[in-house]
Amino acid sequence: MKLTPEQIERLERELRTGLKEQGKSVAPPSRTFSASIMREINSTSASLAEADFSEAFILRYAAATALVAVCCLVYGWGTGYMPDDTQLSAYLLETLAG
Amino acid sequence: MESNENEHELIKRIIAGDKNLFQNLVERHQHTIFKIVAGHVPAGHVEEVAHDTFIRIYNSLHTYGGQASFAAWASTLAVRQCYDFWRKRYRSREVPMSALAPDTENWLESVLAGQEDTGEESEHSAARRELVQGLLAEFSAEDRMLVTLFYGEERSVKECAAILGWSFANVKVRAFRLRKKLRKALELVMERGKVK
Repeated sequence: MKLTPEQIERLERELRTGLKEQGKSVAPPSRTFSASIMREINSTSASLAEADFSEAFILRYAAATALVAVCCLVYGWGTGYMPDDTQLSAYLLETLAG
Repeated sequence: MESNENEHELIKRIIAGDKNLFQNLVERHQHTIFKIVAGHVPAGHVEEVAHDTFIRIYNSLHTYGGQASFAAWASTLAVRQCYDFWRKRYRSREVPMSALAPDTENWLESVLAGQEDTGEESEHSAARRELVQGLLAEFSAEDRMLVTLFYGEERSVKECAAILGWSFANVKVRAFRLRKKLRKALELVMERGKVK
C-alpha cells in the first residue's frame, strides 16, 4: 500500500515517540546483578594486568618467530642451502617410502 | 571532578589486579547502562545484555585512556554490545516478523487518518511499542542501531560514527538512505497488518 507524505510524517512522529519511550519503562537492576558479574569475573583466573601481559607476550613471540622464519628462508635461498621443489619432493617421497 | 579522579584511581587499581573493586564501578554505573541497553533491546534481554556489557567493560578496562569520562566510554561499549546482540539475532534469524495486534491496527488506522487520540495513553503507548518493534524487525542490525540512535536518541552523525565505530561517510550515507527504507518498512508493516 502507498502512503501519502502526510501519513509518513505522522507515522515518523509516532516512531520517534515510540523509540524514546522504549528505554523509559526499564526495570531496575536486580540486587544480585553486580554479584553475578563479580562471580563471572572472579571465575576467570587471570587478572587484567596478566591478560594484558600474556596478550602482548604472545604477539611479540609470534612476530619474532615470523621474523626468524623469514630470515632463515631468505638466507637459505640466497646461499643455495634450501632445496628446490624437485629435491624436496624426492626427499619427501623417499621418506614416505620408508 | 574529584569523583572522576577517584574513578581513575579505582580503574588503575582494578587493572593492577584488585578485581573486587570492579563491583564499585558496576554499582555506580549500572542504572545508566540499563537505561541505554533498554533503549535498544527487548525488555526480556536487558539484564543479560547489561551483564555482557559489564564483562566487556572489565575486559577492555586496560584500553580506557581517560580522555573521555568513564561514563561516556562505558556507554559506547553498551551500545556496541547491543549492536552485537542484534547481529547475533539476525544471524540466527531470531527476529520475529508477526502481524500487528487488532488494537494496534485500530490505533494505526486512526494515526493514518489523522484523527485525534481518544483512548488511554497506556494503550497508545503499547500500540506505539508494537509499531516500533514491527518496523525495526524490517531493518538490518546496522540500520536498526542507526534508527534508534538517530531517531530515538537524536544523536548527530558524528556521535553515531564514534559510537558504532563506523566512518563518518558511512553513517552519513546510511542515514540518508534510512528515510527511504523507513517508508518501505512502514508500507510493509501496514500490508502485514492489512491496514486499509
